[in-house]
Amino acid sequence: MASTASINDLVIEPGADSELEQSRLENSTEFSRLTSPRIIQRRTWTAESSELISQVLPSAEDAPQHTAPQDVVLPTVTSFKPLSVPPLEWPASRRTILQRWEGVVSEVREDEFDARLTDLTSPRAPEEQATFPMSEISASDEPLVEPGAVFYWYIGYEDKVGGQRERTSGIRFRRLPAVRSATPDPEIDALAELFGVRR
Amino acid sequence: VSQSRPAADEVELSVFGSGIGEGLAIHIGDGDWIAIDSCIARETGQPAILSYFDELGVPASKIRLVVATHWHDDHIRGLSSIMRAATSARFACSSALQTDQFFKLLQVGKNSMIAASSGTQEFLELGRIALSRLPKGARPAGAFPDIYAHENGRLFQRSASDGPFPVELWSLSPSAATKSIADARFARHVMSSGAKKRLPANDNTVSVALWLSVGNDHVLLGADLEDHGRPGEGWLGVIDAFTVPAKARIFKVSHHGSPNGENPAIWSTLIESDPVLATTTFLGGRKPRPAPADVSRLCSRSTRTYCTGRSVQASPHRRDPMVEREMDAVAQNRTVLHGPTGHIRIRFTPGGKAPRIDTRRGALRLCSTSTSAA
Repeated sequence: MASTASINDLVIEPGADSELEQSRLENSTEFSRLTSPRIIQRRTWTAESSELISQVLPSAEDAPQHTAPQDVVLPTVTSFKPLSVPPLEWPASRRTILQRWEGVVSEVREDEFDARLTDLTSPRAPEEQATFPMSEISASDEPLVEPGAVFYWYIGYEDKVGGQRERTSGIRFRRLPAVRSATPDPEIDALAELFGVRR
Repeated sequence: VSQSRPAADEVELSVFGSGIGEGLAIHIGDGDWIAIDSCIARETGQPAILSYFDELGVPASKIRLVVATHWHDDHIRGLSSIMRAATSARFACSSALQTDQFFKLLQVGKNSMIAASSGTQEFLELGRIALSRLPKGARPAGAFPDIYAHENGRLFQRSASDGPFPVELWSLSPSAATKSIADARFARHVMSSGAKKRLPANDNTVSVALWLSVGNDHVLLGADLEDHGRPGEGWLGVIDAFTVPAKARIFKVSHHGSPNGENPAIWSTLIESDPVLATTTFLGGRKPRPAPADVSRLCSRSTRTYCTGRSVQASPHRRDPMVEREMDAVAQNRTVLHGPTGHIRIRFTPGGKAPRIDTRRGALRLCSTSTSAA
């Protein structure tokens, strides 16, 4: 990940180090506390900086177990030397899309709607029509379901971290802002003139 | 079915339907054709009309007029390809589109980035073709379309001295009242949702119904014109405004045989008894058309009722079995919207014997001959 902050830019305020470690001991699983401006000053600070810190500082789990905060003795840290640490990568599930359609809603009823489907994976496949239950639509998309509305439907599978494979299907309605016709379009203007509509 | 071209003195009405699309090709004698609307043939990915011309060995340059009855996907897909190939054709579309709001709609459609082809994108392409054919500096305002169709408007005329029989094509709609309704609808859509949505296909009252006169024979082409019983609109507007020269012997049934695609009065005022009826399928709605009740209704009008296909599901596209299982788990009532491209071909000589009717690629006669016409 690119960062605009150099590790050399990060300075921990003299005197705040013990407070920092104290905080770490009290909140051993929360690295977010490290970003507190009360503790860390920055010359150039971006969101990535906290990740850099997480890479150069020992993790809370790796920190020595102290019996009491008063036992902690830390040197005052004034600067870091650049370290070459590979970025942390967590294994993620992988999604493979096998089939995509573009749908146009043709009729809406109380708990279902009809739509005409254009195959985006095999463009030569004939159009189909199908009925979809509203239960397949997310609550945030439900208000968008009306005749003429455009949506995308995909089917695929997801390979989970543990090796399981699951079928997935998703329907997402188009949320583009309406394209208005107020913006001049020379081609449309020329056509409208040709058709005797505009002069 | 013979793939020979129609004779010079023969009229042909070819009706193509591919599940949800509709297109017509009309031979008006002497090798000249008129194309009305378009559907894409699933088998070729090309407009069914152009594929048929390839079979017959007819160059698209023989198309004299291209008509867009309205701009819905199922009637306009591929029309720009036809127009591009038909280098000497004039173009006509509904006068309900002659409004600034429609061009605002084209603008939002242009920016919508929706994969499914839409009427706005096809119409935009038609405009681009027109622009490319007119050199810069020679694009007078109103140069395209060549003709705006409205009630009682003549779109095409050929005198008897210029061909084997006289030909006239008249537009019967839209009425002035319908046009203002369409304008308001376009405006509402542009203002309310812009490119987030596509305009629902519910403005069939602006469709261009057509009347073809070939010699002393007449053909009524219903497009998707609907009727909701309101005076001055839809079929009621047509009946009020159009002076019928004689009744039509052939009717391209409007709106895929839906009950709202007709007004009972059209059967007594515009159409002969026991006509030839041709309709196309529409598999995209809740109820595929023509529904069984539509078939019964049409067959009660004429036993010579034909359709471009059955209103049943076509073979689905084969996908990964896991995808199919998940599709079935999430979506119900899956229907493939495009079947084989059925073709009804009606040929007759004006003033001659009864029309000869062929059905191809899944098109069929809907009524058994034992059903008696009402």
